[in-house]
Amino acid sequence: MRKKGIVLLIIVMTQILTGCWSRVEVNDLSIVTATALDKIEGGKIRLTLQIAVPRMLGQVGSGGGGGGGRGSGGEKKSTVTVSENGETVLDAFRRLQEKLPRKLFFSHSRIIIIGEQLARDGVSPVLDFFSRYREARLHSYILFTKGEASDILNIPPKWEKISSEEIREEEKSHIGVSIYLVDFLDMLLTDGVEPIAALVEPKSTEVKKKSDSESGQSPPESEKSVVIAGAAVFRKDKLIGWMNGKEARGALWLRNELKQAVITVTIPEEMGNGKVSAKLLKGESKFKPILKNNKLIMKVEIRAQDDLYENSSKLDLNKPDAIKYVQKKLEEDIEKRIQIVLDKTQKQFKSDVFGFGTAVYRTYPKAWKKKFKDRWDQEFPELEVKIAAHVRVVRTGLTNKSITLEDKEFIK
Amino acid sequence: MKLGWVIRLLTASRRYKKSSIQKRDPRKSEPLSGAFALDIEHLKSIFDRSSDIVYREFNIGRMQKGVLIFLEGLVNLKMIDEDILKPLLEYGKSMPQPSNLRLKDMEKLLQDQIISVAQVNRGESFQEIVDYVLSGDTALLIEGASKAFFFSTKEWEKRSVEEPATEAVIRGPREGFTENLRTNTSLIRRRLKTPQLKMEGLTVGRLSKTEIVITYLDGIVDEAIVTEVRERIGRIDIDAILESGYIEEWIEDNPYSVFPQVQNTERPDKVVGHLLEGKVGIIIDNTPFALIVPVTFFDMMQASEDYYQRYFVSTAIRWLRYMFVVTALLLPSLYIALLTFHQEMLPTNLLLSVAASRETVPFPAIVEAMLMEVSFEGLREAGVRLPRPVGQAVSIVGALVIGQAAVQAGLVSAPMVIVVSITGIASFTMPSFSQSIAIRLLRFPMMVAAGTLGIYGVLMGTLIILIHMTRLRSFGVPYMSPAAPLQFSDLKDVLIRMPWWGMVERPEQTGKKNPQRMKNRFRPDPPSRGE
Repeated sequence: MRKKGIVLLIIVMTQILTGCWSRVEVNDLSIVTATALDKIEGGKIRLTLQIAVPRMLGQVGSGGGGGGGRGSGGEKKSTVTVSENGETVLDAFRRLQEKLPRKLFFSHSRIIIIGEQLARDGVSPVLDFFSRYREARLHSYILFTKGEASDILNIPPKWEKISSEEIREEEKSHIGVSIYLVDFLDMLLTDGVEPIAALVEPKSTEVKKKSDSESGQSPPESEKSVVIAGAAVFRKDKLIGWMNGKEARGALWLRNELKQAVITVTIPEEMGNGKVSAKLLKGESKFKPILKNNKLIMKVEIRAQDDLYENSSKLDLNKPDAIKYVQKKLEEDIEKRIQIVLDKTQKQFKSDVFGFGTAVYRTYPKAWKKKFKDRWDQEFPELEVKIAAHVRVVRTGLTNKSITLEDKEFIK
Repeated sequence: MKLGWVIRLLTASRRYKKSSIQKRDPRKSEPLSGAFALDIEHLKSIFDRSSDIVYREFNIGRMQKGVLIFLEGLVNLKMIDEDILKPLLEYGKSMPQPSNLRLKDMEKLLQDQIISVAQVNRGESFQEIVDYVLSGDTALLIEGASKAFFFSTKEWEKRSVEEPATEAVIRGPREGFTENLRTNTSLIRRRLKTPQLKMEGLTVGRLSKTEIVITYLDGIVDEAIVTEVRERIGRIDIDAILESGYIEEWIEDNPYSVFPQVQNTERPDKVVGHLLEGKVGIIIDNTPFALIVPVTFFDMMQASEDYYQRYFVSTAIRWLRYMFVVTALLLPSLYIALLTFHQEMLPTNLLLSVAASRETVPFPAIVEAMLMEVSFEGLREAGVRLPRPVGQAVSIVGALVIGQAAVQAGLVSAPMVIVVSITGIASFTMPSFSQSIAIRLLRFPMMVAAGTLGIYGVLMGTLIILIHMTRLRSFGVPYMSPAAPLQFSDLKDVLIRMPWWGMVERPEQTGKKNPQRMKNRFRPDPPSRGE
């Protein structure tokens, strides 16, 4: 009994002997909320980190708690941006740590922004750190920007306490391209698909007023906020071009990642003259590669369900014929949008960001290996793509006829 | 297990004194001599320096002396006056002069014609006189007789049956046990009007001579358990039993466990409920707490009210309790572990607000938690111990000081206050106080484990506790049954509270002997239209 007890005691003690070696109090952490990477002259890497200052974060509204002695000095920023140059990311990271009193803590960095220069030269070297380092999250959004990435981190937040949180929320809404680091790496490593990621830009949230544009003043930097403005298109790990917002959304259609969309079509004079807007309820795209007589044709089928929410035309949506007409119009619009982005990627970028190659591989694995795998770069720009959209308008909102139809005499 | 040798060390030094305690008074075992004056003298020397003993000397007729001996405060004086003394004196007046009563007549006359007391006993030794008088009977000695007569005149001040303070219910009987053994047995008898209900009497304690009643339902209970209970109580050798806790510590299976292996309750309906499941109740004189054995972890998680409320509600409440047991045990340690080792596991926004509130706190999370938990336990203990009016003041001051001032002074973070108060609330959801205090005690080692090893430590601690719990037995019944070992049919009263019409069988572990509770399942059903 006693012997057993001693043995047990020793076992328990050895467990405790490891001690508290990884113990860190929250007060001793620099919580990194966003990471930005740029390439500077001489090929060095500049690592810019946005670090939360908890002192400035807590107790919003509770005047007594934070106001008294601690929150003096008026308004202060809730984040601090720090940066350092280095040969590699870890090198810069080490140098940065030397300057900071608290331990850098990476696990909550959910945003990685990479500048244009670094992206054009290839991102693989820096991404290796993020896939290797224990604290880095693969589930952080990867974003690219025109110009310097570190500038993005300095834009003050409008709604959230921290600007990186705003970017993350924007990404989460899936209106623009939203790619996790893990997805990016996946696309990088998979045959038959090239990486694509979101493009962020500082933009004014307000549309320019006439007076502003006349005087030539652009709104001050603090008025701007970070907006997902399009997409960055890659070939292998090198950036080759940008898509604007509209093109990026066309790419989302093709990548089957679209969650929210509004389609507006113009109804011509003879059918009622006006515009109809529909909101996407459910959208789905399917690739059907067809290999016939040694010629590859890619059929893209798009199925969408829409809610019709705005109708300023004279179409009577009570009538099935009218609905059918609108559906046809919507289909045309979708096809047109997709054709635009398809042309751009095939002709200009020559980069298969949609994963057509993967679809071919899945359908014709043998042919892919034999014929297409090695020369897909040449094959893709020449690929014949047939787009077929099928739209179903499910609902027409709370009214059927447009109010301008029914109450003509009252309005105007 | 590890405590064993410490306790042995502590008890070993006292062992030599044992013989000195067991000294008996040789005078008491002698028989009565028959010489009246001498016997009285002897009794007085046994009961010397006892102000509450009364010797009421009188004459029967003219010559024959008699004496009534009783303890004032333990007897019904009115009964002695009217049912013993008065008839004796009146009989003496009517007696033909000048004859004395002879012993042989005496016995008959006293019992059959003179004394109108329900229970009459006889005895011949001083020992018996001492025992009877001390338990509240009145002893009668008459000149010329070498026998003493005892009349049951027990009556003393007792608390009336009140609502149990520790086990309040919203729905259910409001009767609770009192300090009086016979009141308590009557409360059980009233609920089970069957001769199957047995009430075995025992006396434990060399000086206290505490009466103990082992109660069970013959034909339902497993005889082996009753025998075991009888044996374990029989083994007790102690000078006095003051509360059921004494018995509990003597009869439990694993004396080195923090978990209670015997349930205590103030509620007669709870005892009866358990008797019907084939368990054994132990009622002890001078305490309102009865014991129930064998008992499982899940028994302790059940309140008697669970069976009176609608079963949907009871099931939900049970789940709430299970959830809160885990909370009471783990919440502070998980908080510490997450905050000092695994900051990446918290959502970013939560981490930032916690970090913000912790910014001014000068202590590590573990110290902060310990500080708060210890002061909470102190507050709770003070609330129990202090006189009621003062207690209220303490709780207000405590809540203000700890809750608000500490946060404002930046000594403690607000999330920690929330964690501690949720833990406090959680620990009070457990119906059994002895259970909840065990969980509350275990919280502290868990916090230390979390503060040194993080989640790894919490996991290890939880595993050790679980292993310990599954190894525990209460009178041979596994502590974690019916969960471990799994007895699927018994989960009807653990995972859910089956409606009464569904509880066809008694629990497997204790009710195996007579499992059928009702003939067959009868689900209430309104008559269909055709009938």
